[in-house]
Amino acid sequence: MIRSVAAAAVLAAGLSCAGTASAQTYLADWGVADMKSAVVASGASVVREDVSADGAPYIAAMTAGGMKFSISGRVCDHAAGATTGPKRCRGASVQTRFTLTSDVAVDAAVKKYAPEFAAVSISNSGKSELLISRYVILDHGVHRDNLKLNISVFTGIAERVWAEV
Amino acid sequence: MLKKLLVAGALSAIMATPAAAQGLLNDWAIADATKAIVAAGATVTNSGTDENGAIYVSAKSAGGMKFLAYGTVCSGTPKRCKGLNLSAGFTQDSDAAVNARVKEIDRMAVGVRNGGDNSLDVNRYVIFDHGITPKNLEMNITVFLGIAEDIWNGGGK
Repeated sequence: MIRSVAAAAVLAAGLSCAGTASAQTYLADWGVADMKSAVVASGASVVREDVSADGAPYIAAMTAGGMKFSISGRVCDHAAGATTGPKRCRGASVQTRFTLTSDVAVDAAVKKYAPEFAAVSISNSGKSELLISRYVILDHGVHRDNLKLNISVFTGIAERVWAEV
Repeated sequence: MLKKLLVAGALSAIMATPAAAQGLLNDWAIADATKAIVAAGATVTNSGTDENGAIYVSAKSAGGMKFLAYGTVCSGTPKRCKGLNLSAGFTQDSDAAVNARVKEIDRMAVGVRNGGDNSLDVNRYVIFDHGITPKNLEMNITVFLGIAEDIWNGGGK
């Protein structure tokens, strides 16, 4: 559902900066190179890059403190007029999962941490996993440093929770 | 002397709102949020500064859902803020009902939580640091409204 909502919102809007070149300061969508730069600028390391079955870019990363997280593309398309080639995405799902001792422990963590951190979503993703995520919308343009800060805010909160659960 | 003061005043005004002058937002004030909320199809019902000094805009979606845009990391006079928390609260029958909804809702673009007093709270937090376009802000509000209204109507699973 989130994908359809985000996609509808994107389609309803004029794409003023579609196909943004990676050298530009503002991003209305992102490709692997853009996100790798933002990840590194935030102080984390890129562990792996990949493409999902539907062609969306995916990056696995690790903070300086050792916390693993991933960034996957949402609302992705080929360049205008193209049917092949790397996709660029207008949404980015930044997330990490921590395995706790039980489903009950995950529910307790959600109840404790979700009210504390408004900038992320904290939920029970099943299998005794605590899911922390932040969804970044790039439609119409955000500064590259804004993207970097979105990642930094996410990792800062997630690492704090990681240290306590 | 008067000219110097006027020039200094003009310069300080420009420096205080460089993003606005360029059509970009490094932070937001009530007028910026009001414009984006209206552009997203909602209606502003109130705005101002709360007892903590934070600015807010309360509004209602076209479907009747009440929500709030609340400033964080604010400074200056008048206040401009680097963060904006969009939130809505939906009263459930019980605390257990809130917890059940929190567990079943699966929407990554918003946060859902038990806000206490049987309130299911839904929010989306927007970061302005370094600049976003006004249209990006509008899109954030549109996405929040779409998901929050779905949750309000019992969806989101």
